[in-house]
Amino acid sequence: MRACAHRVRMVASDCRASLPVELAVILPLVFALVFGVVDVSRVLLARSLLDHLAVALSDEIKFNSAAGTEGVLTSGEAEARLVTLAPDLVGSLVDVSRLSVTVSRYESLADFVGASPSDEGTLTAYRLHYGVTLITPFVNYLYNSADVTESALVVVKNGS
Amino acid sequence: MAKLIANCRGSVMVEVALFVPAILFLLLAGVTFSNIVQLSRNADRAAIVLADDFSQKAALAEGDFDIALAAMTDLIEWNGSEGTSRLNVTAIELNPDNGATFLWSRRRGEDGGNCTESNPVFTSPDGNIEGAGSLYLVQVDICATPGTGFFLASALSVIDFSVHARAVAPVRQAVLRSPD
Repeated sequence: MRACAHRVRMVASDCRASLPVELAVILPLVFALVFGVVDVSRVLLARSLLDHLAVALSDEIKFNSAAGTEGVLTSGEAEARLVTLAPDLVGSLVDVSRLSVTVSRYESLADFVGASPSDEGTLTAYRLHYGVTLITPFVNYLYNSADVTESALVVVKNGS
Repeated sequence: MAKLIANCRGSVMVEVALFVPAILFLLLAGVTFSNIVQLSRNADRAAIVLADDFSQKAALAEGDFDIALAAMTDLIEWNGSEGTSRLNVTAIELNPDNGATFLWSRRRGEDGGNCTESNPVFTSPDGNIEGAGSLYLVQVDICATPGTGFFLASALSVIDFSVHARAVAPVRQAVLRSPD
C-alpha cells in the first residue's frame, strides 16, 4: 500500500512532458481563437466591400443608364449590373453568386420610413445581401447557421 | 520558494491566460473601429440623402423633421447597437456683407456623447461668399453616439465619442427660407 502511494506521489511530482500535455489542452482553444479572429475579419471585410458595391451600383445606375430608365430597373436587372460590376471593384474577395440585390422605390422619405414602396417613386433604395460562410470548425453548434448574412443599404434620388 | 519558481508545471496555461485577454482586446478594438468607420460612412450618406430631400421640398411641416429622424435611423442601421442620434436641420443665408447667418434651425433626436447643444458645430454658421446676392443653403448635421451594443462602449463613452456628419445643399424652394 505504501509502495503504491509512493508511486502515485512520484508520478504526480514528475513534471516531464507536462508542456506537451498543457499544449494539447490549450491548442483547441488557441485554434478556436485564431479561427474566430479570421472569421470576424472576413465578416467585417464583407460588410465593407458590400457597402462599397452598394454605392458603386447606385452610381452606375444613376449615371450610366439611359435617361429616364434609371428609376425603372428591377431587382433582377440591378443584380445583373452588379455581377458585371463586382469583379472589377472587389476582385475575388466577394463571391458574386452569393450576392443578391433588392431594389425598392418610394415617393418620399415618409414612404421609405413606412416601408410603402411605389413604382413611380424617385427615391430608390438598394439593399445588397451577402452570405459569409464561417470557417471556424463547429461554429454551427454555437451559431444557428454556418453563414452570416451581411446587408448594405443605399438610398439615392434618381431623376430630378 | 525556490522550488516553486523552479516548478515548470502549468506554465503554458499561465502564458495563455496572459495573452488571450490581450488578443481578445485587440479583436474587440478592431471590430469597434470597423463599426465606427461603418457608422461614419452611413451617417455621411444619410446626411446627403436628407439634405438633398430637404432642399427640394415644396412645402415644409414640423412632421417632416420627425420623418427625417426616422429615415436617418433606418439609414444609419445601428445593427442592434442601440446608439443615440441627433438630427439638426438648419437653413443658412450666405451674404457677402453679413457672411453666414442662421435663418432657422430644427433639432430632433437625443443628445449623447458630444452631441450637445453647446457643440460649436450646432451654434456657429460657417461659410462665406463673394460677389453680389445671397445664397440659401440647407444644412443637415447628424451626430451619432455609439451605444451599449458597441464593443468597448464604456471606453468610448469615457471620451464622449460621437460621429459627426454634415451635408449642405442649395435651397431650391422659397419655402425653406422661412418655414414658419
